[in-house]
Amino acid sequence: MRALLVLAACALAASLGSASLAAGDTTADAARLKGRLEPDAAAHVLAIVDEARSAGLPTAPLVARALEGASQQARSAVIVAEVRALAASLGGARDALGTGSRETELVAGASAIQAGVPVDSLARLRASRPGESLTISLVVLCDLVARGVPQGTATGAILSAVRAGGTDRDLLRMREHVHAQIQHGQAPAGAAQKGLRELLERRPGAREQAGGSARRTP
Amino acid sequence: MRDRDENEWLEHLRAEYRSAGSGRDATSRERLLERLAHESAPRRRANPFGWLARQPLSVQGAVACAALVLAAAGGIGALRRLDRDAMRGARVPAAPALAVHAGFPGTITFALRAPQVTTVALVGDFNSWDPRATPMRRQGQGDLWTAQVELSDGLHSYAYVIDGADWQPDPGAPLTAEAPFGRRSSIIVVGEQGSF
Repeated sequence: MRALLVLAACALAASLGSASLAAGDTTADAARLKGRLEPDAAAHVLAIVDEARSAGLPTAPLVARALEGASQQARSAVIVAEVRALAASLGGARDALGTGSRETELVAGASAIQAGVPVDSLARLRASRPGESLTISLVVLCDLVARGVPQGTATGAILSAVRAGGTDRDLLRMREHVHAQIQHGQAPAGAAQKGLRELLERRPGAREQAGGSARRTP
Repeated sequence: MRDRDENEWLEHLRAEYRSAGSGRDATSRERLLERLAHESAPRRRANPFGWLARQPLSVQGAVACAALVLAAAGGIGALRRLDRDAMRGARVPAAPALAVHAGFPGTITFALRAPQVTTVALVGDFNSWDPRATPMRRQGQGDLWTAQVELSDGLHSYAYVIDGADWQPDPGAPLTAEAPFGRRSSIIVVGEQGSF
């Protein structure tokens, strides 16, 4: 009985502690946003942040996005719209990648969604590498798109590489090769395809494993 | 060929950083940064199209708790610098832009080679994107700018602000896919197989 009481007290203390931490985060977020945004914009962003928190989504990226906009002197309406879009993308990423996903995966996944990567491609990526982090795969995917590789080609390349057993290190090396090829004047799509070929050639037997997926539209 | 000299120099930097990184020794990295500050890249002719021929290079150290990305800039960063220099009527920078961030759990050293600039600041989600929060320090009289920041595990976005107005992504790091406010940023992941 005494042990049960102690356990209950501990649970209560823990829940109060976490509530207090969350309240502290909320207060700190509010102070930072109010210090950098117009009052209306700060209120809108805080409402989006609260909604995201209630939905169990990470909120730090939302606050950071608003502050990034403030630093770049974006208009309030643009800041609010971008924060709202990011919240939606975080939700989409969680739906696609699973509720147990790491925060870094959700943030990178949201970025990929905002770059036009279809949500079901994220789900396929998860299925290709169950139980392992997808953060670096998604970061490389975003980087390829940012460097001008068409979204479909970039997604196909990453999916093929992951299905072929490519490690994070392989993907990072591929990113560097693609970057180098583009700087040498090669078209981004061609550079990505070449980068994938090189990755597959370095992994004996991987080409068969990847099948023809490099050529398929994700 | 000038590019060959430049590549050899960059290879030298790569080896030096690997060596410093493998020890996980902050002092040795500091010493290395100091040495780099006094070391010049091979001079290249002021060729208005020189950035086209610039070799990119980025390296990741194969260290358990650290990774290194080393790059010579071309692409967006160099193009933007070229545009700005053209507006100012300045010469094309004699040395290649170079960005390094060496990741160690907790402390990350960001370094950017940025010739002919007055100030460089590091901005990112870790400092509320505030250009006043993390000014980078010029190493000696050279063109190497560095800043050390404590980063929590996770994915962080960041950029460099040059001369108070010119936002540039890290030439050696992965880019964010989106540029929500018109300027693209770079990404660093801390705590997942080291940092990159």
